[in-house]
Amino acid sequence: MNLRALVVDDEPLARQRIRHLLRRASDIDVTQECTNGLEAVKAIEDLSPDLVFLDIQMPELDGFGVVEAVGADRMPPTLFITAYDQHALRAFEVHALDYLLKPFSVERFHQALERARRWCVHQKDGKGPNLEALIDGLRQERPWVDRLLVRLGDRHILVKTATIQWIEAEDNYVRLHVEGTSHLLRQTMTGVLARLDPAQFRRIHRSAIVNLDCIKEFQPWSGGDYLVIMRDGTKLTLSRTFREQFGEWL
Amino acid sequence: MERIQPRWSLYWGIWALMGLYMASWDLVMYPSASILRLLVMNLLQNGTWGLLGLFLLWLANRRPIESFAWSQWRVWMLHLVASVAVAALGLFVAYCISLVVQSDEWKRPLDMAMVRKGLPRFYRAYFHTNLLFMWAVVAAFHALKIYRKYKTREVEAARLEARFAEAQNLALRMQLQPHFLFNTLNSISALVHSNPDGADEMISRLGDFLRTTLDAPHDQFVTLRRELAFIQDYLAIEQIRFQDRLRVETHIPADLMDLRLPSFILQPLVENALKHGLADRPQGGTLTLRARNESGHLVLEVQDDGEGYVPGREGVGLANVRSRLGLLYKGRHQMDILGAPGRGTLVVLRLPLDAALRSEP
Repeated sequence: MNLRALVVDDEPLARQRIRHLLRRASDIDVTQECTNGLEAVKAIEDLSPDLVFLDIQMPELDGFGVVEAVGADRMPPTLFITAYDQHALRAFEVHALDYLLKPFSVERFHQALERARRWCVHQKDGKGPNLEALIDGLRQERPWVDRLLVRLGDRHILVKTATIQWIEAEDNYVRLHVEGTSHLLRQTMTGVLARLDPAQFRRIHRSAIVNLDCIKEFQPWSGGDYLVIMRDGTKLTLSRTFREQFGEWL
Repeated sequence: MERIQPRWSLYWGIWALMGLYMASWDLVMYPSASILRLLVMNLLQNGTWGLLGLFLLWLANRRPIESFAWSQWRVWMLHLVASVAVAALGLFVAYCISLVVQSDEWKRPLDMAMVRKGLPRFYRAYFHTNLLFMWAVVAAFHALKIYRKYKTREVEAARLEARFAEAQNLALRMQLQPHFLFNTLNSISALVHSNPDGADEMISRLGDFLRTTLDAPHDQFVTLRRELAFIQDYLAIEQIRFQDRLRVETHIPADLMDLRLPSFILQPLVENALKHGLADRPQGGTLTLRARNESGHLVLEVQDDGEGYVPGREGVGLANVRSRLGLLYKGRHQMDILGAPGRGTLVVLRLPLDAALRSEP
């Protein structure tokens, strides 16, 4: 049975190049092409392809974002493709993953493809490459994201972190308050805070993180606490424990 | 206008030195006089002149002399009259001080005959010197003012130079963005098979582009024609790379092409529009460049129909454009970023035409 491949790249010519090269590989069929990360997440979940050709730099959700959204453990064997990304390259080297550098030769492409075919076999034995470690490693290098992926029913949406006004703890979830609406994200407060730019987001309470750009004023409250009034009128508490990080202002 | 920060210790120090100097002069003239008395008298007199000099400083700060032009004659006259008046008043007070300090017997009535003879003599002896002091005060004020202005200009020029270098650097980095370069090469390798003519076109575009990079302008000002050519090379390649996703519209009247504008000023705006407005949208969009001459201003617009500018921290490119315009035009320009979520971003630059036309051909 032929391997079903997914080609993900935002540039039409780059997809065309891969399709063209795959014509010589009679054992691989391109089942679908995706032009961005969100489409890719959906296609991987819906079609569960055998092999993914994944460009790293793409609008909104990049290649690593796709891996995270799908879950590193559920990700099919993946051939990463990049034009130039030194962080990524270092990570690939560390985790002994094969990757393609644009522009690549026919020979190099087939060499990488050969290896990918072997992963497809190995994956069934659970010996595929360790994507989880790769993502963890990259997370340490590029800790802050400017978008968060949120699941809405059976689809995903991207929430720009700049539009998040504040974040509320809710059991095993956090609630992202965005203009006029809110989204639940399966994440801990510490976990979500670690992914946000500390110059913009600060924790003010055990159960609240605020976007500094959305704060209107601070009012002294009882017992060393402060009342934080947001631009939209929401009132939050800055507890004494977290006041220290506002030392420069309060 | 910039405020002159006075250094009062220096001001009063000079008057005190003058007092000591004049006391020593008096001592030479009247060796028999008491040193203490001469010292007290001269210090008091110079202190008075110093106080009156403050009025001249206040006046100079309010109505400074701007130039030697004829149009300034009123200001010159004002300062001349004021200094004559202040010198006259200062001498009168000084004379009174000398009377008080020199008379031994307080109770003795004032000898008016002596005053009538002594006062004119005092004026004849000291008026011209005193007037000179007052002019020195006014002159020192203006000298300090000019010095400060010169210093500020020097600092500004250095800052401008640095910003320009930074913009140049950013522009070069954009062009030589390895990402851009390698993606373009990858596009060519796809075109070679499917569309050899397209590949050919792309290679020559890339060539043009790299050439522009190599002879990037070294002037602060370039013609609109040149700035546009620079941007269009870049856009042409991006258009082939993204094919249907990027549409570019330019509405620039031919008669504006020779106007000069700060070099690399449009490029960060275009780059931003592509990065935040279009490249991030899977369906792509339209980039529109417009220019017009509006009541003495060159108005430039860069518009995209992307997701819309969200006010917040500005990127390096945008911040650089803002500060360079501020340094070059000193507030006579305008830069507005208008955005509506989902309806795109419009950046409008209004640059005064005199500066746009100015500078060497």
